[in-house]
Amino acid sequence: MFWLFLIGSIGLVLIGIFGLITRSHLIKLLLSLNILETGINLTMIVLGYQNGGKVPIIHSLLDLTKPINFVDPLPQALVLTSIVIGLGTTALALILIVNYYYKTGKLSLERSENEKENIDE
Amino acid sequence: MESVRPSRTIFGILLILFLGYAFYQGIIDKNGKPLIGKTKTTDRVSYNMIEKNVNRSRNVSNKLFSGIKVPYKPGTKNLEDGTANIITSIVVNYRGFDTLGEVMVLFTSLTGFLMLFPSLKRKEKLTKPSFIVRNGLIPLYLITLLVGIYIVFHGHLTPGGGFAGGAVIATGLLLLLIAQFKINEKLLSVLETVAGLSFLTIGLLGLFIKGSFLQNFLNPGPLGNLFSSGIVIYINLVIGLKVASELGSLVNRFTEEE
Repeated sequence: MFWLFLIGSIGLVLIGIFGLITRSHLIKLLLSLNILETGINLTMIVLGYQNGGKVPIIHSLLDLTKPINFVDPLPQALVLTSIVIGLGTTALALILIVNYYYKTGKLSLERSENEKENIDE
Repeated sequence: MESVRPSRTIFGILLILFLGYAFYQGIIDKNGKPLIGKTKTTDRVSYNMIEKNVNRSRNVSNKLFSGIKVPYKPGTKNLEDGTANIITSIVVNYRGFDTLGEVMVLFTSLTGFLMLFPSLKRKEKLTKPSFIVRNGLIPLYLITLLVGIYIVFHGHLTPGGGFAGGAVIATGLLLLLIAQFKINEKLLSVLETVAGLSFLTIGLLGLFIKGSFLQNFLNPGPLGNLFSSGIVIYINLVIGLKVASELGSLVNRFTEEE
C-alpha cells in the first residue's frame, strides 16, 4: 500500500514534467503544472508516513496511556500551505492566459508559419 | 490545433526515465532497501510539536520508543499550546509566520487576478433564474454558511481550519450568485481589510505581551474544549474571514455586468 502511494505520487510528478515538456497549449501547460504540484504534495505526505500510523489529532477515543504511532504532522502542515498557494497561482495564471488570448488571438505558445491565418480565423 | 513534435516526445520520455531512476536511487539505501517509511516520528522535528515541548530542551532518550507517548490527555490545562489538532497547531501556532506569508501570497495573487480581469462585454442578458432556483438556493446557502463557520471554529479540534472553512463559505457566496443576488463588493473588501489587519494586530499583541511576533499570549484552556487554544481559534477566524471575502470577490467579478 505504501509503495502504491509512493509510485502513484511520483508518477504524477513525472506526468506533470512530461506534459510541461511536450505540450504547447497554455491551458494544457497549466494543467500539467497542477498535476506536478499535486504529485509533489502527495510525495511530501508520503515522506511523513508511518506503517500503521494514526492521524495526529488528540481526542478522547485514543488510548493515550500507551505509545501511539502518529504520522508526521509537519509535511501535512506544509502541504496545506502549498495547496493554498497553488490556488492563488492557478487563478493568476488563468487570468494571464485569458489576457494573452485577447492580445494575440491564440492559446498556443508555438510559433507556427501560418500564424497570421490563425489570427484571421 | 496543437501539433506534437516527435523529437520533444522522445526527449520527454528519456527525461522521465532518467528522473524516475533518480527518484528510485533517492529512496533506497546501499543494500537496495527502501529508506522511506522506516524513520520514526520520534526521531523527527515534529516530535517536539506533538509533545508540545518546543520551548524546553529535547529529550533524546526516547529513541527506543516504538511510538509516541503523549504526556497529556484531553482536559489538560496550561500546555505550551492547547490545540488538539497538531497540524493546526503547527500551521497556526508554531509556524504562524509562514501562515501570514501564505495569506500575503493569496492576497497578492488575487489582487493581480482582479487587476488583470478583462472587461468582458456580455452579448446577451442573463436569463432570470426560476422561482425554484431563487428560493431553493437560500436554504442551501444557509446550510453551506453553517458548515463553513463550523469548520472555521473547530479547526483546532477536527480537520479543517481557516482556509478550508473560508473556501466553503465562498462556495456559499457562489450559490447566491447563481440565484443572481447582488453581493456588495465594498463590504467584501472592508471585511478583507479588517481580517488582514486583525491578523497583524494579534501578531503585534504577541510581540508586546510575550516578546515575539505571533506568540500565543492567551492562556490555553483545557485541551479539547472549544475555547481552548489561546490565539489559534482567533487566527483561524480571521483567516476564514479573509479567505472567504477574497474568494467571494473573485467569484463576484464573473457576474459583473457592464
